[in-house]
Amino acid sequence: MRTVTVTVCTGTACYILGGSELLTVKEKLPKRYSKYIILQGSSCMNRCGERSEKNRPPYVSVDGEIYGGVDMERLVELIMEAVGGDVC
Amino acid sequence: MNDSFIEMDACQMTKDGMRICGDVFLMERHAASGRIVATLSDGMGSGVKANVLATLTAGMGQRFVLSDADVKKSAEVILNTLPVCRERKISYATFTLADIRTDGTVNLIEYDNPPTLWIRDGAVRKIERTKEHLNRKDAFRPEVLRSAACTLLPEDRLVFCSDGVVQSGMGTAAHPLGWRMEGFERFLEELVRGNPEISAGDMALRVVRRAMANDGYRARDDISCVVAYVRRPRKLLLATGPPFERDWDTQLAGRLAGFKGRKVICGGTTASIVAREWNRPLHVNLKNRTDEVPPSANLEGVDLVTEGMLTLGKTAEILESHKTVSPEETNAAEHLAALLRESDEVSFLVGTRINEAHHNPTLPIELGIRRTLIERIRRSLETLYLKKTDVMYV
Repeated sequence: MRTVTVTVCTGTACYILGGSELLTVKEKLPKRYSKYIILQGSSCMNRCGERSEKNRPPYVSVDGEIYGGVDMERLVELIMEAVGGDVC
Repeated sequence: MNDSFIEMDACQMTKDGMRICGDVFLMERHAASGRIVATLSDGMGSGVKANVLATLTAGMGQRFVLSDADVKKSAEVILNTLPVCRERKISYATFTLADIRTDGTVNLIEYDNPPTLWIRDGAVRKIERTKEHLNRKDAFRPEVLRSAACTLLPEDRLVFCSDGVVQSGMGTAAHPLGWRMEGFERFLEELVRGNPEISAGDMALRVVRRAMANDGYRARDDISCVVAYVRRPRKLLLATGPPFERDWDTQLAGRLAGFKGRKVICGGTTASIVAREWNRPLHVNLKNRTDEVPPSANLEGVDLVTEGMLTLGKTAEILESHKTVSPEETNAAEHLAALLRESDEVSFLVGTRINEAHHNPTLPIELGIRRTLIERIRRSLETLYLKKTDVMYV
C-alpha cells in the first residue's frame, strides 16, 4: 500500500477525448483510496499525435508510467493496482 | 496625451422580467483619426419597443457625429425619424453622444439623459453646458439639447449613464427619491479614490452592481453605465502555438521574457517550450476548470497559462457576446477575456507549426484553426472594445 501520483493530461486533444472526466477519478474510486492519491494535471505530455489503439489521447501517467487511450474504468484499475495491498 | 490610451467600456443590466435591454450603447474608433464616437440611448418604455427606439437613435447618432453634421439638425432628424408608440402616441428616446479626440478634447451632446460626469483627481468637475431649444413642429413638449466640451488629461475619466442608475432604489427606505446624481457622484469619487487605477470596464460594472443593489437586486429599469478612462496603455502579449521552425523556440521564450506588460500563454505545447527554455516548473491548477474549459497552469513570470484551442474558442465567444466578465471570474477563458478587456494594446505571437493531434478525425469539428480563432478575437477586441492589436506569425 503506497501513495500514487496520478497525472492527467489537460492538453486540447486529451481534454476533449476524456481527460476532463478522468480528473474526477477520486469520486469514482472507493473512498478509502482517496488518501493514497496525489492527483495533478499536465499541460501536455507530447504524445497526442500518436494514433494506435494503446497510444492515443487521453494520456495519463501513474507514478511516471504513461498510459494512452485510458477511460475511467481503466484508470480506476491502474490506480488500485498501483496502490496495492489491503486498503481499508 | 500622445502616449495615452483612451479606454472605453460599458456595463448594462436589463430591467427585471425583460429579455432585451431598452438602453443601447454603441461605440467605434475612427480608424484614420483614432477619434472615438460613442452613443448611449434609452428608448421609451422597456423591452423590444424601447430597444428599437434606442437602436435607431444610437445608430443615427453615431453616423451624424462621425460625419460632423450640424448638431441641432441631427437631433431633429433623429427625433422625427423615431416611430410613434401606438399606446402613448409619442416617440421618444434619450441620448448622450460623446466625441472624443486623441488630443483629449471631448464634445458632448445630451438629450434628457443624466448629465455626463468628468472626474479628475478623485473629484467630479463641473462641465459648462449650453442649452439649445429644438423647434420641431411635432414635439409633444419643449425639447432641449445640452452641449458641453471639456479636455481630458491623463488619468481623467468621463462617466455617463441611463436614468436606471440615478433612479435606482427609488421608493426604498435608503433612497426614497432614488440614488440621484448626488449619491452616484459620491460613489464614483469614493471608488476612484480607493482604486485610482480602476479600469473603465470594472468601474462601469461596479456602478451597475451598486444600482442593482439599490433596486434590491431586481432592476426596476434598464441600467447602463459607460466609462471612458485616459490612461497609459496597458500592454499584453499573448503567445499561442509552437513556432514553425524549432530554432525559434528560444526567440519565443526570449520575447516573452523581455516583454514589458502582461504575458499570457495559450497552449500546452507552447507553455512546455517556454518552461523548458526558462528552466522553470509548470504546474497545472486543477481547481479552475469546467467541462468545456481545461484548467489553467502556473508558470513563474507569466500572468496566465491556459490550454490552447478550447480556451481560445471560448474566449472568442465570451468577447463576442459582450458578456460582462469580472476579474474574479474563475475559469481560464473568463480569466483570459477579463485580462484582454483590461488591456489596451494586445500583441499576438502566433506559432504556425501544425499540431498533428488536432488532425484526428475523432475530434469535434468545432475545434477551430488557431489563426481563425486569433482573428476572431482580434476583430472583437478592435471593434467591440476599441483595443489596438497586432499579430506576428512565427
